[in-house]
Amino acid sequence: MHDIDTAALEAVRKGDIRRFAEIVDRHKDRAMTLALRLLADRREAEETVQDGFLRAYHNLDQFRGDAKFGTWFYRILYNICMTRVSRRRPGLMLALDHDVLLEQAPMDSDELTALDKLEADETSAILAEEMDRLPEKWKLPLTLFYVQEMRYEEIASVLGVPVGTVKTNLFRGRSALKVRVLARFGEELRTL
Amino acid sequence: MISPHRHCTIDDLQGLLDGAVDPGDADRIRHHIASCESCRQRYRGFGRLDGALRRLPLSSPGPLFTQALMEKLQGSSKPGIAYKVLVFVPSALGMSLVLGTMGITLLVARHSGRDLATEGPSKEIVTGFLQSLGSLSEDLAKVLTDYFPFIFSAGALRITGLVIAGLLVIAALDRLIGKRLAARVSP
Repeated sequence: MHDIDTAALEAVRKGDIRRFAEIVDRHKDRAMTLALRLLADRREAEETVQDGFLRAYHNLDQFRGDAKFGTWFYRILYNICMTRVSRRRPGLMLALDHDVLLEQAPMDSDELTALDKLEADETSAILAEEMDRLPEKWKLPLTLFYVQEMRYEEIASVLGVPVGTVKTNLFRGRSALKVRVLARFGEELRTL
Repeated sequence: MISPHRHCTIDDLQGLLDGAVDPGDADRIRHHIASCESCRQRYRGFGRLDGALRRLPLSSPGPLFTQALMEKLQGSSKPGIAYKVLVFVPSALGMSLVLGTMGITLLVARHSGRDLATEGPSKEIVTGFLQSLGSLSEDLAKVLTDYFPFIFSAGALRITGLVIAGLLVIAALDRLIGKRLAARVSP
């Protein structure tokens, strides 16, 4: 499997520790985005990302190259984040279930033309806010898909769920996001 | 299989955007979209949300993140080859001392014709043997036989053997499970 990190990883394995910085620079923003979405605390997210990179380095001999380094690393990071979340907010993840939102989801996506009426920056800001408010079970696959640019199979591997569950949660997450964003745009458009 | 006469499903349209359909199916979906206004509108709708999600800004850690991480990493980094070699020097010296003593004792015992299983070489034989190595060894022979006579005894030989066997077992265990244990407790 071709992996953009392969050359740097080989050098690190041979003792050139400085090449690890190359890998860190390549993944740190996406890693930070994932950690921040899950932890909602900038300082804790940064600590967690650092922790993730340290663990990846110290366990590099366990990475056999069957998958991309990114997939393996984000699985480590995801596990650390989930440990922190479960310590901080026990039971919250199970309590979150917003399926009811989908009952209101307009399936006619023409309504999304409303997005064109606002500035791109404004759209992104509202979308990012609403993404953060989604329950983890939808937010996670969406983040891994759009931020980490993973395929369904890679997301399934990171989250430890079947590919079908990933597809379902991506669909539900997008639908819920659409409902929420359109509701926000309704407010914004009324004020224009 | 996508029929040109039936409308696309959500899975078809979203799968096409996600790059998750086979190339053959992707061509058929595109072909259908090109000729079906209804599916084209739905596809554009999915595409707008998809595009907006792909354009979401990334969050960055602080500007010194990589530098701080690398410093931390170098502080707890894996040892290089030089370290791996050097770290064994004290053990190697200690082992040489023990083995050397055992070797000398065995040589002396064989020279004296005594049975090491039941008795060590006599003080006189050890002194004589060490002195035969040269005049410089006279003082050493005196010190060893006067102050450390037990190291030439049969009991000492057995204890030394047990210590070496123990060290080998510890080294083997460390090699087998030490690394895994360290990985579990590492930050």
